[in-house]
Amino acid sequence: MIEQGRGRPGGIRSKNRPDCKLVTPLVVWVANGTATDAERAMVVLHTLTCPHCRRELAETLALRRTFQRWVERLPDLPQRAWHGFVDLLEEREEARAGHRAAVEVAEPEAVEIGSVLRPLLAWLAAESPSPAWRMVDWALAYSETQGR
Amino acid sequence: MNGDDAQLIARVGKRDLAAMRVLYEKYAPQLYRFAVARLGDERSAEDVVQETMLAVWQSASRFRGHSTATTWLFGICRRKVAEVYRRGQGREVPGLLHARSESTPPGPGLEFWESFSRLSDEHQEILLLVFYYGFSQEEAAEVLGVPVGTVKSRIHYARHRLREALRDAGAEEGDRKRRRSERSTGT
Ligand SMILES: [Zn+2]
Repeated sequence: MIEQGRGRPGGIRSKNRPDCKLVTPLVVWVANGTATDAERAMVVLHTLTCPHCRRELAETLALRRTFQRWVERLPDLPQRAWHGFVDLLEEREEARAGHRAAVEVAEPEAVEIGSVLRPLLAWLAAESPSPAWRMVDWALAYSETQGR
Repeated sequence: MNGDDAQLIARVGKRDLAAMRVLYEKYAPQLYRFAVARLGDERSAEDVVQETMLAVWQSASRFRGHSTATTWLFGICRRKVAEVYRRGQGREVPGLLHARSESTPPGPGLEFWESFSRLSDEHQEILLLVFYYGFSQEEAAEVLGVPVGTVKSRIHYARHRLREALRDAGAEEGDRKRRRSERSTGT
């Protein structure tokens, strides 16, 4: 269809017309109704004198009609679909809530290490007041200066 | 974008199930056709629609209206279809067309399906968006996440591929008929 007039001496070699290059890409948008008024006017005017683009437009319109008829024959979404969606929504929200709860159990609030260490060190120091435990006193004092 | 849709999505973002139902009833049937045409399987298509609408429910509060509701929804839907293909569950059998051939009105059917299903995913998508849903260049670009220039060239090639495939299918059908008639006259 692109080589309209091919092999016919004197046939219309419409591909050679410079404005075909502008019109051909617009044909599909004219066919689907989204071209601007100016674009549509340009295509329509051009097709009055260009058999190549006229045929291109006719074929595109026919293809679109066939396409629409085919898609319209495809099945419709089942009536029950909304209820299926609500069930799925509840299922997923429950799963998400369950996941959140599981995360909270698995990851308890971070425990400040000093709150465990300080009483332990104090207890050790009190129980064993030997020189070795001076280190512990020192560690305890240091941890307090760090606020931990 | 359509003000009604913007309001609906805003309400969905606040967990308004009634608004979700309005949005669902408006868009789910359209998305379903798209998914069936792409996947050829009613069950998978329904799953895709449900997952799309679930994504809408979960992300509506983040929707800023940079695109229209339609292009946003179709954009999600096509990604869900792509996920089905990645999992290797797409277009096993075009069974639904066989199943419906008894009850559906006459029109393009299995041969059209076969021609369409020979096209690449990109060509199938753009043909559906442009020829069936009537998206503009800009809308199609938004759905597909590509520049408008890509849309223009893609629809050009897709149209030609579909025509070729239909011509081939017609030729094959012609051959089959000819062979059948040769056999019947030969016996
Ligand atoms: Zn022309």
